[in-house]
Amino acid sequence: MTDLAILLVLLVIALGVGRRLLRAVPFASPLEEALFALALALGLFAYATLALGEAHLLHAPALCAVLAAGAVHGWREATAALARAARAVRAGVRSVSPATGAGLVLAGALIGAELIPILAPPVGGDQTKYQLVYPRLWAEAHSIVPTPWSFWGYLQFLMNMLFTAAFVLRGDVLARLMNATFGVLAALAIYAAGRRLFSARSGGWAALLFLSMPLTATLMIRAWVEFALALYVLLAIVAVSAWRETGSWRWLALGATMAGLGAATKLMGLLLPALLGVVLLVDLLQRRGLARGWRAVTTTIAFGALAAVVASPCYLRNAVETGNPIFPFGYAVFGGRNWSAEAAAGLDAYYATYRETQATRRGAHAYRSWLDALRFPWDATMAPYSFEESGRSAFDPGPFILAFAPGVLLLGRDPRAWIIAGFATAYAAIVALAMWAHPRYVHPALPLLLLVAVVVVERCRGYGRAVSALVTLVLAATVLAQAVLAARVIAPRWTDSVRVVVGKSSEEAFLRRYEPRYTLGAMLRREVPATGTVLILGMIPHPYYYVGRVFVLASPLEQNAIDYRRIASVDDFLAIARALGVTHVVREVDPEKEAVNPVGPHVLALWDGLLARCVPLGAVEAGALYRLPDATPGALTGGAGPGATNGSRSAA
Amino acid sequence: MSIERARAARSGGAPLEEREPTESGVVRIAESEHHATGVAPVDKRSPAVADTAQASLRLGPGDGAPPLWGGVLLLLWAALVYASYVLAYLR
Repeated sequence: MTDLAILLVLLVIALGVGRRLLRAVPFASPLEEALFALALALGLFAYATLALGEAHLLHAPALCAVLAAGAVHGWREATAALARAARAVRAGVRSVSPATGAGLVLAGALIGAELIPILAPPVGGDQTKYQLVYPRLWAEAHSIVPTPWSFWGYLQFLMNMLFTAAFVLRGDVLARLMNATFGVLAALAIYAAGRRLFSARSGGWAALLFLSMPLTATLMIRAWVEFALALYVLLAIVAVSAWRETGSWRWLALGATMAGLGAATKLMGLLLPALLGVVLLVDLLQRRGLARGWRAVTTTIAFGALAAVVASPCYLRNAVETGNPIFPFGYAVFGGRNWSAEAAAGLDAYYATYRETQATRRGAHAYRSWLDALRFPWDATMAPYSFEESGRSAFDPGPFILAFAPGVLLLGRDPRAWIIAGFATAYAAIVALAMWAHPRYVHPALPLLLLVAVVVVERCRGYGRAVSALVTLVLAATVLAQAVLAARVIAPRWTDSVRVVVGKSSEEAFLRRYEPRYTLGAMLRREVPATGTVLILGMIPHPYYYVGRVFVLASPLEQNAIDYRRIASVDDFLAIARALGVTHVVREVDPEKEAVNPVGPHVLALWDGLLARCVPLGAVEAGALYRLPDATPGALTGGAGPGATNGSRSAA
Repeated sequence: MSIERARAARSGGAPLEEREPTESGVVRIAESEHHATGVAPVDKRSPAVADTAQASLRLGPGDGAPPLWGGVLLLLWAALVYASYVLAYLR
């Protein structure tokens, strides 16, 4: 409950700050205003966290001071908004129709059910591999810690900064609540976008389809960044659409700001300002003619420049620390410290093998050409389990989009629908054809396509009463069927999560049952003193979350700080370990995966040689623990906090 | 789209579909209705804006539903997708 209370306070402050900053924008409704206000203020809070981290001031009092300043700044706006919201809720309860009420009850039930796993300890997904790992590392170190031993430390963007703030203020439950908050905000943004651009009913159905989607359930119960990007995409498109209708430069500036925050959410988010810039330019040229082409170009450049400035902080951090703003990608262009062309090639080979392995689950190969990739929408709908190690419906977007979004071709010349469908299609096509065809990676396109698909079926009501009834039936049946599948996504661990949440079972028992590496972490915390540093020997090592000690990852795949290609002997390896201040070594039991070792048997020979000189302390199913002989704790890490810092960089 | 949007407007006057269109075939919306209905605001400061907003509310015969042949094709495609989805799930 404390986490929920802190979240509520955060949101009220964000609402006030955002409303005050956006006073000049002519919003169509209080809901629209609240969504933009929250999205902007939470983005700014993320950047404030990054700034405090870079200044080594990442302490709870410092963050509380930021929040207090925000509360003072937006107090009047926040209280006014809350009073208005209370009035709206009272009026809404009296006038809500049975159909709307049923939709709200279903949405509430889904969100409520998803809340349970959030309140239990985090298990599974990418959250314990990197989404929460580095934010917690930074929160414990009170600063942004360089992680030359894993590039994941440089794939930490806007949402990860909010997770960091959550860890500083409270812990992982608050971090995951923030993720879920963005999920709810995204659903509300779908409704608001639908209401502004088409009709309230279209927005309502699209929001309900989104909330009941099994993929949404997967993203709600763990910490991800997809919801944040989806929210910023929706709001940026709403703002640009409002600018098209009103001509107000305030809307255009707000659109650029939202596009910039979207680009700050993850690397693929860079597509948001790029594609919206194209929309802007084409629209301006179409409406104003080539004679005013220069004006169109300058407007587009201004839009892009503002978006770039807003997006820049996390990319600047990467550029300063690694020399590459999109580290470790784009190595051929930007280069980058602790990385190499061989490392990039090894990673590419691993990912290609991973895609191939997963594709065999649908009896096919990974897409090898653009023509192959055209199957992606069908495969993503029919075989959503064939893109990642996951359950049957974990990444299931449901059938509605594939069934009805193509109907946009029947909508005639409706620029609003075409802008949304065009943006979504271009985004998904670029990701699927040029990056990685995966339902989660095209996620920002899904709410947009849902909205368009709902508009298509809503138009079909014009055929008559019978068809209108059929449309309602299809929509309702899809929502209910999706909700059942979403419930199946949530179901595993749900009952045990309830037991932990209500105190009938301990977190320890829960984690021992569901987190394979928890026992390894528990042994580590028992055997390794608080001043120790642990070298993790694992091919794909993401074990930090339950390690609880200062650690250095020594994978040959996802880092190049310990460059096995240039380590000739065990003595050299031992010298590097000692220079890093390593006191203990963990040898993980690696999962059966291909292409995880781009360097070859030399790595295993070095590991075996090193372990032969260590003292075994214990072993569990997930791995074994050793003590390095004659180790000096903190030799180079110098007590700079969790994780290896400059010591490992210089050692590399 | 206009009929759907017009039906969404429920406060401050008669439902839009019951109002008399002007000579140019548009239905005017009072500013007081914008916030309550979500219908795109008509910005009186800019004639171009008013045109855009009004054009989107044009009422006329055949407005809304897609051509029948398109609707039938869409229905067949959707049936194929839903059937395949169910079969794929059950397999």
